[in-house]
Amino acid sequence: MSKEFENLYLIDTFKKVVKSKKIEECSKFLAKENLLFEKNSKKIFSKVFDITKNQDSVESLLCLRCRVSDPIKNAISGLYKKHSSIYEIDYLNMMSYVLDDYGEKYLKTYDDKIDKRKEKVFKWSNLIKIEKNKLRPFGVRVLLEFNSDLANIDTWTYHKVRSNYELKSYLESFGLNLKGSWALISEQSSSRVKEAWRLYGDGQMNMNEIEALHKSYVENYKPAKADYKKRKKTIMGWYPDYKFLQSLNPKQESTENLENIAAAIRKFISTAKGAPQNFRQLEGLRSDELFKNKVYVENSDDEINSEEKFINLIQNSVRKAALEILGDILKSEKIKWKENNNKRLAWELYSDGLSQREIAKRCNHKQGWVSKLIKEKIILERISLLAATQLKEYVEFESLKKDPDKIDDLIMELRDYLISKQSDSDVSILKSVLKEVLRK
Amino acid sequence: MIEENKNNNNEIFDALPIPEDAVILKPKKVLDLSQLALLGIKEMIRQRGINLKVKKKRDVTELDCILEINNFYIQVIFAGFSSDQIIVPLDRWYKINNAPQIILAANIDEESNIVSFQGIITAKEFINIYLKKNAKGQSFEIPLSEFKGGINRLLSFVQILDSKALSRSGLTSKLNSQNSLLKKIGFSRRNISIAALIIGSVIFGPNIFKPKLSYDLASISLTQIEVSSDKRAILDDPNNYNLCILSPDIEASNINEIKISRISFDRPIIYSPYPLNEIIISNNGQELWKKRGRSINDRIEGIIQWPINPLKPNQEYLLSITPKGAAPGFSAKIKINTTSNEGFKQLEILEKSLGNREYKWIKAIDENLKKDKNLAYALLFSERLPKSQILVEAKNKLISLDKCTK
Repeated sequence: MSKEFENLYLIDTFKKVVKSKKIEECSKFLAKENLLFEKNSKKIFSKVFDITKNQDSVESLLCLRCRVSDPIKNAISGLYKKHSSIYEIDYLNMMSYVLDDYGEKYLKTYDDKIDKRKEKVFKWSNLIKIEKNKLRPFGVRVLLEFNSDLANIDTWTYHKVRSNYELKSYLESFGLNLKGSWALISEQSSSRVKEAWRLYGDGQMNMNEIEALHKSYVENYKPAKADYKKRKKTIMGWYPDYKFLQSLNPKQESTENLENIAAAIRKFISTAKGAPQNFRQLEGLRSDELFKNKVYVENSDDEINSEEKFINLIQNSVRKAALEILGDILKSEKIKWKENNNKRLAWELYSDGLSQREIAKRCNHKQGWVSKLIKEKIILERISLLAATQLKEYVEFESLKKDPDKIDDLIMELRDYLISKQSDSDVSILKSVLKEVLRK
Repeated sequence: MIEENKNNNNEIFDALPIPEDAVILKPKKVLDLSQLALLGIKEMIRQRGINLKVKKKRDVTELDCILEINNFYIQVIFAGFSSDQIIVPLDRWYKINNAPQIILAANIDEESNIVSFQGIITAKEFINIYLKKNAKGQSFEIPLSEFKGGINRLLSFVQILDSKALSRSGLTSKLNSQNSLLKKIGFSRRNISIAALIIGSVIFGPNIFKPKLSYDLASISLTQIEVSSDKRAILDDPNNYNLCILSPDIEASNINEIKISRISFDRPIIYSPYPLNEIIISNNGQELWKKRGRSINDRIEGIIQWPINPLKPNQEYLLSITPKGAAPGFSAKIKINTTSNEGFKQLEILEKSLGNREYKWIKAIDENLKKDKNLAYALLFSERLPKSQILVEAKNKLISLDKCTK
């Protein structure tokens, strides 16, 4: 167990890997304190933390820095493992925001300079003088704020990593949101929490206790966050303190039960994700089938002519809207093609009817890259919205102005039409218009 | 210090995908939810190149705010990205002839300034929900899934509809007394919306689009499955009554003794048009559920909604069905194999996404009759099925099937 306190995880920038480095000073310190063969990690941490704070030992702080580097590395590794098959996140980039401790003996300032004056020696009494936001490395910030009454060091570290602004921004640029447990619990209905607990709950609490705890949590969370926001001028980094935990029903001593509830909710949500986001799949449907499927009623004696007229109006409006929207999207996209030819290729392959997976493979990227580049759902929405607003100007579509249901039906019809296949082609209407725009 | 617990890393630390249509705002200062919602709408309008002015009214609360777009009064209410329910404050709905016309549900991640919109409900849709839920007081909670269409539905309504097409009358006392009167004389709330629809169709004339089921229901036949006994491998009994079943549907080219049904969702139905003696659902040899006809004259008949816990991906169950007349100990066996996690659906979510719209249901059933009959049957026999002549006719056709193929 003492190994966690003598091995520091760091980025080897030459080999481009994360490696573990044994810190001799830590081994000596642990031997001196008779902790080298201690099996209880909790006991080691407690003692080393005490020495760090009360005796201001450089070596003991170094041991703690080793200790937090382990959950930091685990948090990022787990996240990378889970999402890297779809999203183009970079392992070392992610690590670099939070795993930036190289075992320095002197404190670094925020502009990365090392100052070897006495007051800059890497020890607790010097750390607490520095403004938290300017303190580096990240692991030391985790230690400085650590409250052993509320959580263990691993859980605490995971929460701190999750609140790291740079890491959050990096992941958001790839379409991922680091959702924290505290907001997650507050957002759920009582019925969902109970169902999640029934299916995945792991703890001693019964259903009534869970319900009461969640209810009191939701009631207290909003004012607590509002107060934090007012004091800190930010809403990042809130953590339930002892006062908050004691305001809950039943009163809580630590965050453990709340963590268990959050874990059950996460499992519940990830299982429910199996449900389709977009249920309708009309790739196999042909556009002529789609229109023949309907009866278009108009106050006219000649129903066939009026149906044809309707179809023509719709088709022309969709085509006009598709040309306009796709032209607009590609205008801004084309600027990026000069520096990244793969983007051009992706659009071309998409217009040929290839799937996201196939496009990703051919462009040597991941699927997330394709879905971020070509947002089909939004393109369809934009075109159908524009076409519908144009159609309302025709007297034949007058009734749209009075009936929201008809607007819903029309928009759905337009989207179906866009993704259906033309009678003489294997690609959808949308993709054939895209091909035309790409050729221009 | 509390116990070390490293195993829950994944549960504590995970990322959720940001919805495709969400906007990530970069405000210079910390904003409240109404400010974020306003910025989010403005940004989405800008991205779509639409010329619309959005005005925020002054009376903002921590639960909602009012926006005015193209003379439409829109109540914006707030939820998180992982929320399943949302609170609708009712104060504004008691302002007679000055109530909102649309409610827009905004999903906001306050920490990251990410905004997306789940969708809207119109005043009429809201009042129907309000009546159904028998809501009272200053606010009430409704499922987020009631809100449909994302920001696009809002933008289509405010651009296409005449602003007078959506009522501003709110929750009037007349509505409440009407509701209680209807209750007294035995009308359900469902009748009210149907009546409103009928009146609506008289006022606004016939629909432009009339959906149809394109799938040829006459081509559907029941599957015949031989009954067998665990004790005797071959049935050589003159009293051999095979099972004829509609759902679960059996995989084509299934020549094994035990037939396999692939299920892609959590609550399939069990239906044979003929009376049954017994149905048993088991898993790994353990009986989980059993239903028996009470007597010779009282067999199991009709549609059976999935009677045990919802199915999950990658599971295997055995369904043993004894048709009426089969020798004791004999049953037809169907292995239920659920598909993998990818694309596995929850029927309730799917039903809710279809709402009360006849068009959507017909479309969904029609598509699934081609590719996933089990799902099509579950939808067609769903308790949430909207009133529709087309769908009632389709149901009747399936119920009266008698062609049984091996």
